[in-house]
Amino acid sequence: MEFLEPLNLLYCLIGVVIGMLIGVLPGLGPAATIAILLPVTYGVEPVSAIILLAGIFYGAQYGGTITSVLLKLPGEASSVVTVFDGHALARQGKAGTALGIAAIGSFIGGTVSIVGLTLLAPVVAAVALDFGPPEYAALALFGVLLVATVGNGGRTKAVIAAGLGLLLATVGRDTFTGASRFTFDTLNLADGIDFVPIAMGLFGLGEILYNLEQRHRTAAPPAAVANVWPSRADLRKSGGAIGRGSVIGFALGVLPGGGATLSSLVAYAVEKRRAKHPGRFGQGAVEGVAAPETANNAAATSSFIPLLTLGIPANATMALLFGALLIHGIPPGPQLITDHPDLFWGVVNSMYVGNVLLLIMSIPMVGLFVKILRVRPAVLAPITVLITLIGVYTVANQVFDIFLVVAFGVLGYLMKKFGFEPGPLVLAFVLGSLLETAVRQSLLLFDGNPAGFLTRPISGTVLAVLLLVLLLPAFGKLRRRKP
Amino acid sequence: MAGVVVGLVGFAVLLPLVGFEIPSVVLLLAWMRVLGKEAWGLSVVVSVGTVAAFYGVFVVLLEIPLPRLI
Repeated sequence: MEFLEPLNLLYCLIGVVIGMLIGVLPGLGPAATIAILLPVTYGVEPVSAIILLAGIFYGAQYGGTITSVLLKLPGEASSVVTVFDGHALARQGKAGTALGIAAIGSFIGGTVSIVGLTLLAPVVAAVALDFGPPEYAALALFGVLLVATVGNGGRTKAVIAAGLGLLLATVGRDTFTGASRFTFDTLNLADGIDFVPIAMGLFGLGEILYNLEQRHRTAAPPAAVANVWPSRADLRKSGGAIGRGSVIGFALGVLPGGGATLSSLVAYAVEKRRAKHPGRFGQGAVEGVAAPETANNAAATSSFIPLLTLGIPANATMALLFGALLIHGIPPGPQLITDHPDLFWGVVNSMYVGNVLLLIMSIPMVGLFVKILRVRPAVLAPITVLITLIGVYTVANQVFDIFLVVAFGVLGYLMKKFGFEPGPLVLAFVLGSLLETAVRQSLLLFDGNPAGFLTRPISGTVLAVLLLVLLLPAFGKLRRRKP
Repeated sequence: MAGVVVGLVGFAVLLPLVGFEIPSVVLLLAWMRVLGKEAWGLSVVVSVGTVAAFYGVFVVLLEIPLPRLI
């Protein structure tokens, strides 16, 4: 285990600053930013690239808080519940307290989660080393279905989006038989659709096109920030919330489809239920800020565990990092920790450092970040579009990829307009090729008998749990129907 | 919307023919003027400045073989 190199320290700093910036800006989320910056990271070392992209992801969790508290505009979905009590505190002149508690909670949640990652990841990876194709097939199926069912937004729409992702994953030459599938006889599609134009189109361009139609909300003048250090009474009140938020965030972040948004909602609900006077929530309760902000950071960190140990991305952002690892020639999976220890420990170390950097930066630089909001979207949007178009070209020096990114941008725009999330599509696309290869290898192993999936202990268990998760809501409905 | 998509496709068609500089400046200018209704001065400064910055980063610094005029 080596210490973080100065250059990687710089990438970590750049990552968390970009993360905070885009966290502050409503509209452009971490997934979009990581998608747009994917090509830019080709030129750098894989460790540095992942450190940078990871920093953007957890940095955005800090940034999203600032606008929630000061402007009542959540920069990120995972900071939506922070608005209730955070903005209420700001109106009482206690914006500083809210931001201070959020920063401290985020730091503790993030750090607890990294310690969990440090301890747990090598164990999980060691167990997963024995996994064969059937286990991977079961896990990939689990990932696709869970994201489609537990994720935010309508369930049917998420399943449709995931189905589309699976279909797109089949495009290209069949790796087992060499037959061309959906290639329309063009060489451009012979190797399948590249992950980068899909991600950049759906998340990056799609989001910008969608925002074009939205009327730009006029932000209220930001509340003044004074006295960021929370009082001892506030700290005592939020201590429990921070502790519980860390655990909730860590646990939910590991689950596919869980992640930052869900954990912030759950952590807030738990605090409200435990409170002696639940009426205080929404009126400026510090616990109402501490719990979700702690949880979303803990979840952002722990969602790295399935990616780094099993090679299964837990959410859309992890799917992008999955793509980034592949681009750098590092297959994500249980071998990652043993084959590329420098990458694994480098990224883990950078997270410890990144959280300290964010804690230090988030308080004194609040004013600066609020100023970013004055940058007009009409100036920012075309520059982002240009980065997308030129960035996607530089991946393979192919004009065809620009057409692809525009096509997927339009698809992303249409999906958002009709209430579909692009996340399940991208995740299913990534897991789709994994799933297909694993299933077909397994069937070769089993001499074509699909019962083999059920008789292997681990794949059988995973499939049984999967069935249970799928059937649970149905049971719930049945019970409700009976008086 | 349709106009934006036509513009983006036009960008992709023109890029290999005339290099990235002119289509980029035109894309930025048109977006800021037509969609953003920004002032001419700001639009020109931002467009040309951004493309110059791209030239610096992609061509000079990263030495990526972008099709270009200069």
